Amino acid sequence: MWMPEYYLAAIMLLALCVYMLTAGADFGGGILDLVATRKQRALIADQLAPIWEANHVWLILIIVLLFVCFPPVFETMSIVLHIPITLVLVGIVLRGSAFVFRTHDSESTKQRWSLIFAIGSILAPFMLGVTLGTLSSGRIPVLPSPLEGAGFEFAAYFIHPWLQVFPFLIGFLTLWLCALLSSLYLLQRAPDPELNQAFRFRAFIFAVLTGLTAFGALWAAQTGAPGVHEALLHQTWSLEFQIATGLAALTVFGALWFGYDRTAQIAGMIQVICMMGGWALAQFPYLIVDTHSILDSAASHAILNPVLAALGLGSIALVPSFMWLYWVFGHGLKTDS
Amino acid sequence: MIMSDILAARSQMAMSLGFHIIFAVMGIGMPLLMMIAEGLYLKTQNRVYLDLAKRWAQGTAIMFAVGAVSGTALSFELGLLWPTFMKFAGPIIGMPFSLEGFAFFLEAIFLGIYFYGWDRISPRAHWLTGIVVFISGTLSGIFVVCANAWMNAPAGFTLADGVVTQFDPFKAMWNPASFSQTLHMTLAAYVSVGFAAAGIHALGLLKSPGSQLHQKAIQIAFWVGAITIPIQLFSGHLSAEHVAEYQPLKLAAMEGQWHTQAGAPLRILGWPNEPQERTDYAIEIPNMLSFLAYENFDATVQGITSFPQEDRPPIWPLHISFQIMVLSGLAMLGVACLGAFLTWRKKSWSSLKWFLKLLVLASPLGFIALETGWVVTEVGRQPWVIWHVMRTAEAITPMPHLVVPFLLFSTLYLLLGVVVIYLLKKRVFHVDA
Repeated sequence: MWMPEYYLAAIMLLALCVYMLTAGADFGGGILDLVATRKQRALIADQLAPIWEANHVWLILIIVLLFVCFPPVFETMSIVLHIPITLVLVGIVLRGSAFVFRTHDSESTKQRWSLIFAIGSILAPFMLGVTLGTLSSGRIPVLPSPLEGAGFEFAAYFIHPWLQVFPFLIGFLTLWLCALLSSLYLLQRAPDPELNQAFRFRAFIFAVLTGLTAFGALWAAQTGAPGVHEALLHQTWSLEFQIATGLAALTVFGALWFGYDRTAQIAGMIQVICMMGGWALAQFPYLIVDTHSILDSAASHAILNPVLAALGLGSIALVPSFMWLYWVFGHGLKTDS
Repeated sequence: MIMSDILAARSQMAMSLGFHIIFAVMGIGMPLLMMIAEGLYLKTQNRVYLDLAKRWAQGTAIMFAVGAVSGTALSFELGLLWPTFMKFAGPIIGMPFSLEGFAFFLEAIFLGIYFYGWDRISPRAHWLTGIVVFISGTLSGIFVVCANAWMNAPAGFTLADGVVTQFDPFKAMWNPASFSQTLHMTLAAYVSVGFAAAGIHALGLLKSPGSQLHQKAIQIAFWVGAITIPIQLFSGHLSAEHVAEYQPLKLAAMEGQWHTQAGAPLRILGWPNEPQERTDYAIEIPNMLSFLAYENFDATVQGITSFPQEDRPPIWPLHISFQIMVLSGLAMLGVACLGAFLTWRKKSWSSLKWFLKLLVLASPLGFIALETGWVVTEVGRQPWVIWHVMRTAEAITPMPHLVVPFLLFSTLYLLLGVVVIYLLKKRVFHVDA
């Protein structure tokens, strides 16, 4: 039986992974920018400038696919998570603008734009993590139907679902992963050993924080996201998932320690893919845990099929274009020297 | 309660769109100017054209970044403010939105290469990169406007008891309003950017007479605006004919036509007097409205009062905005004709200070027409979010205190606007070649 719902959900997960690996690293650049020296800042700016806008479009694609293909999910998310999503947007607008302003404004103002760039770069991925964490928590209330005229208790609908330990730990986890990806990337681009060591040190710190927060989130999931917790520990694939993620994380440490920079970056990327894949599997078949499954919330095949076709055709243009962009700016993975 | 939720939500949407559209239009129009300048450099090897293309690219980089992030905000705000509308309409207008995603992707990728790849790829490849930016930018605008057109002329679906039973996403995309709206908006982008750039460089030329860069910039930008403005007036006429056929109430409000009338006059300016149900102080051209709308001097034009009160949009903002848009368009046509006349008489513009000053005065007109034109489209659709299908009041989120995000985004965009203007001013007048 033809089920475009699952293909589209898989494509959205893939797009989210790519967004995390590319735009996430760009966010990480902003996080690292908060406490960076002039030289470090210059490297971050050079690496980010040509590509961050293109990387950022993945988010637009994901949100469009969500409201086109799974409209009830978009509706519920937009209503219940109004506040965290608004904060994501404020972060995105602030960091994008401050970054381009910093590039084009005079020296004397760079400090101020850098601060805004960093704050926005922290706010956006953090609140994005909170948003995703809440979708997994099983705490999102079912909306009354019709909405018009129904009573909505403010805290119960708009605050309590996301103001919880578990979503906030996912927020921190997202933040550390962004900073880790960025450090792993920048240390390879560093023009001198001193800069390389600086970013290597940061990569270590964020790898440790990632590990600690991941365990913390798993612990908090017991009560904060019981469905996901159960699946991560007791499914047929749980053990393999744990081993793969753990190996990737250990490889990051080992490769960083022994100076295999490229290996460290690849292992970091695999770690992110494992975590996101595990998260998606753990909440399968739900997009919003307990209330919105992929099949039940999907739109009619009348739109899903043409969108799938458009995605196929579009990627024929998109993939080579992206490859050319990265190639032009030497963004392919550099070999170990 | 400072502001009702529905008013706050509508204000936030209007403010966000009104802000974003300036930058979106720059992303559509500026690549055309840059391509012409860079193309002339490749042809003539005159460095001034290259400097010009580079300077325009720097300004566009700032505008594009602000446009990209405010556009991201918009795609979320559709849901944050109007979740019921998006749940209903999302799949039906999914096609143009998905295609817009790809077009915008290509624009962002190739702009990255264009902005930062001057020394990394061959000059010809660089120019071609710009062409891709120009095409994908234009396409991305067209797709988004198709989605908006569907809100004015909802097509391609069948309803039973308020539930969509069947739909055809392609019919929804190419709805009856798509052609006139996308044509009008695409031309508007070139007109606005052409006149704005011509005026800004006219100011530059007045400040540093003899500057080759400003002279060449004016030539390119002015002609982009001057060639597109006559076509734009014609496309505006097509739009009005469309509105007359599909949204007669909107037309009546635009024109201040209160009562149904055969051989209705065209009203220029004037103030809609709601209590008295008439339009005061207007200059009336007899039978002209009937002719413009229906190509027949004696055609009957439906008046505002023939529609129930609860279906009417706010009348005066609509009428006034429409007047401002049309007059701005006519004023730009006048300036375009004057420039063409001076060129024909072989007058050098750089010595004609009064003409340069006129260009400076005309520089905001395109953007004024753009913003007021969107007020006509959007306010004129009220009280419906989807014409005769869903009311705006039914579409709003149950989230209370919407005045807070409205003020938050307004403050944010106000500050960004100030910084952008300051930075562009520095860019344009920084070094005068």
